[in-house]
Amino acid sequence: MDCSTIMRSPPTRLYVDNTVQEAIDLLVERHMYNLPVVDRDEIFVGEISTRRLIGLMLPVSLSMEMGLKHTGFMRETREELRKRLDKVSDQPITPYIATDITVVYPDSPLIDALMLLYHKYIRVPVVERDSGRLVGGISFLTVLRALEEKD
Amino acid sequence: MHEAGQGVILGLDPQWLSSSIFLATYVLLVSDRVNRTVIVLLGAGLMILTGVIDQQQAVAGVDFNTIALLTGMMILVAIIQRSGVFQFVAIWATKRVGADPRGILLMLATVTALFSALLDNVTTVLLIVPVTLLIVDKLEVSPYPFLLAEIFASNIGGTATLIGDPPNILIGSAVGFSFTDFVRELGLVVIVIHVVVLALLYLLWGRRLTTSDECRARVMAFQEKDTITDFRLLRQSLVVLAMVIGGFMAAEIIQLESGSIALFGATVLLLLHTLGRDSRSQSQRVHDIFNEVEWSTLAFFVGLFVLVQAVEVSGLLALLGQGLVDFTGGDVQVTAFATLWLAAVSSAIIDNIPFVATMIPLLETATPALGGSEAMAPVWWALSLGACLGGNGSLIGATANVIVAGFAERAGHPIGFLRFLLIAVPVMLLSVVIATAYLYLRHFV
Repeated sequence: MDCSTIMRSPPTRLYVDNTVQEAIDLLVERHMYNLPVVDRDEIFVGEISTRRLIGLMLPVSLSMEMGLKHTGFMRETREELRKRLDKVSDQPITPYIATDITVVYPDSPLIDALMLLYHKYIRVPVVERDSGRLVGGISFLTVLRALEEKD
Repeated sequence: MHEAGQGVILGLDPQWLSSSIFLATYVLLVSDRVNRTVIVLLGAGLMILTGVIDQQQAVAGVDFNTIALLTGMMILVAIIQRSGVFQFVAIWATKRVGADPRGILLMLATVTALFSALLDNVTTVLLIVPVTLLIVDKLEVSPYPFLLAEIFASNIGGTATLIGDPPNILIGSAVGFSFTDFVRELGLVVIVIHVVVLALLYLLWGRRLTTSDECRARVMAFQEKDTITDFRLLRQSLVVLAMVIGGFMAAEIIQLESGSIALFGATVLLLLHTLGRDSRSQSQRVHDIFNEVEWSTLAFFVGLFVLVQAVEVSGLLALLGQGLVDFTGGDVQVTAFATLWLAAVSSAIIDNIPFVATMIPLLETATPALGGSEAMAPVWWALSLGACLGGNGSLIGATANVIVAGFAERAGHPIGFLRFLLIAVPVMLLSVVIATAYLYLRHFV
């Protein structure tokens, strides 16, 4: 069984020039936790995750590498969270895209995608081997659905 | 053990070969192109492989007291910081001045200096800078004055004690100066320098550091007690830390080296931290703590000791030591001042750890010509003052500076090299001038 047989295609995706607000809207609309990002030629660029977006709501001293770990002494107001998010909501998502994403190919064995789902990701992007075009996505739900169909 | 150079590759002159390897290692260290631990271990390995020294001589060159002291302190700090005590102190101090940015500038710099005297500088800034960034974020003021003040305070505060800065650990271990010796000899001058530097920074930025009542209220709303994540661990940590520092102070009386005291204290705290848990949880905790020990730093020290041992055995340091005596005419006062300023300027440009590691055996060879070990004391204090205070001279002068610069960049407020230099050079010069005056008044009047 290879990835192309069960992948969800065409995948829901964002474009590199989408804004942070557009990314949030799409995540909320589709009830997703991360989204692949492509350029205008549909070439896979990386991924935007809710974790990254939550980081935008936090004070930088908390979200930064080696930042504060214990925060029980703080009290964040709704306005403070909103203000931080508003600051970046009109900006393009480019700086917040994680680009070190492992992908699978349509002809990759399904076990490759399962191992990535087991160890790292909620959703694995499926990318055309030569062109780098995003052609699909595989999540745990995609796999379950495929199994049910077999039954 | 054999004499240096007996088995040197291709029959090369051991002094020439060791100098070349040593110099090449230094050049690579300054160039910052390869990781410092890798460079130093490579240089050390080459000293052995080319036959300048053999493995036994290399091992004999390693100061295990320094390694034990560093390891012990790393373990202690890794456990203590889990209690949240350092954040508690920073927020407590901030609230004591009513969250006024000017007061916070002075308070956080002083807290940094105090922590830095008890912990290493890197750990200090790793603990204090994230809290500082949070506070200035809430106050909506520029983080720049606060971060600079903390860089300066970490290097100044670390000068005061045996464990405050690696050069002091090296000097203390090699010369036999105790924790009390450092505090007695350097405590006062460090306080004076800290106060003068703070006054300078206050004059420079104080007036511009204002914020609204609303912003201050945000910081005053912090509940400092909630920073303490584990009260039991806090009590245990403070008791063990107090005993370790007490042990350092009484080291001469109880006839123990500081490395043994630190490592034993660390082991006791590890025991308390794991006691009463099931074996899996114990293993996990021990594993987590050992993960926080900076093994690459320890390996850097080991490599450095081997490198210096090789140039020492080859006779190069004795030659340089003689050169120093010729240059200063065998006068202790001239030697002390020359050492102070050379150490300060060098430490602003290169890592002060390899510099001090090289200077120690060099000065040791010059000791007889300068009147023996008792007469040399001011020179050792000059080396400590110069190497530690010199770290303030540039953004790359100390590892702590680089760490703070990294934090500033990630927070979106990069500290430019030249912008830093404009303030750092006057601060360093002022500190070293005060240190010069102090050494003169204390030892040569």
